[in-house]
Amino acid sequence: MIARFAIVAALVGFARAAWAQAAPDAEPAAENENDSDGYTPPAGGPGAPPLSIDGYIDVGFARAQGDGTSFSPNDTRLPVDYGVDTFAPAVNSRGDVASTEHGDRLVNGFLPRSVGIGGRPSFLLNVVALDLKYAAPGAPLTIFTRLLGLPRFSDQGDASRFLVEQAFGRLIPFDSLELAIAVGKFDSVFGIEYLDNESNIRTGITPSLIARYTTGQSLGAKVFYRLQIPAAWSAVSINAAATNQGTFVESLQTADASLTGEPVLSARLGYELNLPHVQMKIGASGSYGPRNDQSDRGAKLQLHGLDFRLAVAGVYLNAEAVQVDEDAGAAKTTPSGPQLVASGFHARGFYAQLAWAIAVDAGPLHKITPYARYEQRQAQFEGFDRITVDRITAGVRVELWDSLIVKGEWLVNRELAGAPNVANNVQTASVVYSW
Amino acid sequence: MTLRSKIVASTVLAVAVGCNAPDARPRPVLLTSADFEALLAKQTDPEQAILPDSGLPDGLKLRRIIESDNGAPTLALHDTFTDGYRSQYVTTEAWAGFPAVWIQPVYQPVTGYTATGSPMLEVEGTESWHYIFGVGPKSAFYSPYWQIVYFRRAPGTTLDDYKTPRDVIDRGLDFNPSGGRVIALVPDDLKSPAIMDGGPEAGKGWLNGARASYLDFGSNTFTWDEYGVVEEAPLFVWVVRDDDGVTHALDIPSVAGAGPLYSGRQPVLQGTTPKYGSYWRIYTVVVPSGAAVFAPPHYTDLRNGLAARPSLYDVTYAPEVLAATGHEYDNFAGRVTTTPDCFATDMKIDPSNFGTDDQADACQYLDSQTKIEAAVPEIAIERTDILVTCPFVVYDGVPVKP
Repeated sequence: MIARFAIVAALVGFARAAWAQAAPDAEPAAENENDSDGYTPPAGGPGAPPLSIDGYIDVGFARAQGDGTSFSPNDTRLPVDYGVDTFAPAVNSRGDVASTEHGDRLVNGFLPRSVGIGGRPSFLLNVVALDLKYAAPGAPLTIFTRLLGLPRFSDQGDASRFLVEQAFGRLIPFDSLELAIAVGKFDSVFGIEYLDNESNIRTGITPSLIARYTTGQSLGAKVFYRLQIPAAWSAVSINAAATNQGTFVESLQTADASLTGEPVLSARLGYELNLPHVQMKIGASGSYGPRNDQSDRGAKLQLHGLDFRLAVAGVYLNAEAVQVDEDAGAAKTTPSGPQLVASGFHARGFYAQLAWAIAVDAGPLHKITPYARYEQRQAQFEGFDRITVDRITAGVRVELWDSLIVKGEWLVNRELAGAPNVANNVQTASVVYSW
Repeated sequence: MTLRSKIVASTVLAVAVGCNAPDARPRPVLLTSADFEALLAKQTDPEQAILPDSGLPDGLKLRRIIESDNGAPTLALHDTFTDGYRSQYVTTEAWAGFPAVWIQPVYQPVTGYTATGSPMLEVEGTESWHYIFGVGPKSAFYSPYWQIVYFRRAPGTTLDDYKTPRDVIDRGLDFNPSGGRVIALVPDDLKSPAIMDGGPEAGKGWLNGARASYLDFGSNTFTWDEYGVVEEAPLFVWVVRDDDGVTHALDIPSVAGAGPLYSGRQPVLQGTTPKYGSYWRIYTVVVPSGAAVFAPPHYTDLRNGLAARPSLYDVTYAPEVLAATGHEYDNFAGRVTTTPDCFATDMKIDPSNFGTDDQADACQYLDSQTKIEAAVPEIAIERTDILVTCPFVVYDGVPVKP
């Protein structure tokens, strides 16, 4: 059972997910950790100090084809980030790409963060993460902060950032209910990929092509509730939030202030079937509210999504689909600064990931997990051609001792329609030290 | 709600109301010919103002942009003065809240180039080439200012294989970015005004794989910088201020400039004909104290356009002018002069009656950028937030051909 749990946790990336912490007296961990209200480090055991300090360091090495971007030199349409998938050449678990260099040509804020290496192979310090958790003695309250150091360099010089990725307090008001209320800056509630945000959790290295829409943290309040139905080996859960922005990643929309004065509502309704040898989870998610990269409350952002997870005999399938619709809005502002205008935008996409965890008992080697992912994304800014891209990802994850993970991944990015073909495949590796 | 309906719905109201949140930047608005046509279909008041809070008193008047010609939406001709000549343009796009407008690529297949470098356009069987546009009018980044990019077909492909920018970029050969051309993508049923031997050429091209109608106003009417930003020239609109300091626009012909404000630039000559621009930023100009507008009594429409300051036309006119009932003085109607006494002498009304050295004896009209910049204090010339595409279709009475 323990070995199986270890495999499950590694494959689906929830080994350190927090429900065990949120409801320490709930069902056995293996049956709970695949559905949580967001990642925080595991609770300490009996007698653990109220304050715990954890974290990880993600050291990478990546090489992207071409110039590290998805821009075609012969494509002179403006803005240059509207006709291609700028997020395709991702190199790390934050979704940072090899480059977004656009030669001073007009862009309009649909860009990921960049590690600025272009097409040159480079070592990277992807993330230095520091987690601070305080469990208030005698109170059902957990306070959690995650600080990220993101050392970066760009052609403008040092581009390092310090990011407060999460900072929230979580209250579990009833011992008898799996009910948690959180206020602060916390993980998305949409879909399932947000559970894989951190590189020490994620099975592979890079996020999917649709992660930009569903995995961003936001600031507000959320509630998680799960009802166990033991007679049916099942449980249903709901995770709902009202936040400044929805679930877009931080390079696209800020979570730190509401630009419209009106919250975005997001929720996921989940069902899980926990049979002795088969675990299946399905969920439906939605998000609705004003887009938070502009100031017009009438310019709405809508997301709809479905997710599915299946664990059978050590093989794990994760799949998720999302549809995104954004109204045209007012003048646009992203964390990168003021942009021109919030254009109408529509996208949809999906991914499916298959992983096989092989437990190994050979000295420091604990586990080897080969995995593969296929994904496709369609997107269209109004007035531009609809683009269709897909990606094939293959990789392997090796776990050594309890504190070292080594991952290698190969991304094949393809432009199927709309966007010009461009060489933007990526080979990337990651060494993650957890502490 | 689609972008199109959002824009149309918001043009009159939302722009005026502004955004909900405090300290919000204004909503950038692009109105294309399709938006004008939609507004025409909806509006009941021909005086309806669009882009009302963009620095131009009372906004743009829809009737000056588009009109119904026996039920057919038709671009309206608008008079302006260009270095002393009366000319006419149409308006196909208007922007507010945009700091600039950028060029976009349009692709054109060629078989090669002549010895002088002229492109030999592609013809395949009975099928001729079509423009392949990069960005459509539903985008806020659409612009009718296109940079022609010539390319050659790859062996084994046909013209039918090239309908999108991706088709061209992935399959095309020998890309050759060339000059600029003003081509407005328009609704299928939009008409240009009937101009004998002139006016834009209508056609259909490819836009993202679908057919798109356009009006081609020709080349060499704009320039751009290394960032693709189209250079703007001023279009001067006359205004007056009332006793309360409120500014009112005068409905008289505007004055089109030749280059950026105070640049001293002269219009580009094509042969002996000046080639004026097509991309303008509207500036308001307060009519100088003591100035007047040539608007004899029988120009009733013109006088109506001066309702905000009737004294501007209430001057002494020569007997010949008062006796006229036809179009004898059309060329001068609406001109602003700093020497209104000259209207009392028929010969002085037309400066061409005087030699170069005797121009001081003629009416001194403010009918060019140079004259306005010289005669009007800088503080009386105010930049608005409105940019317009106004390609000329008639220059000094001569039709302009693409």
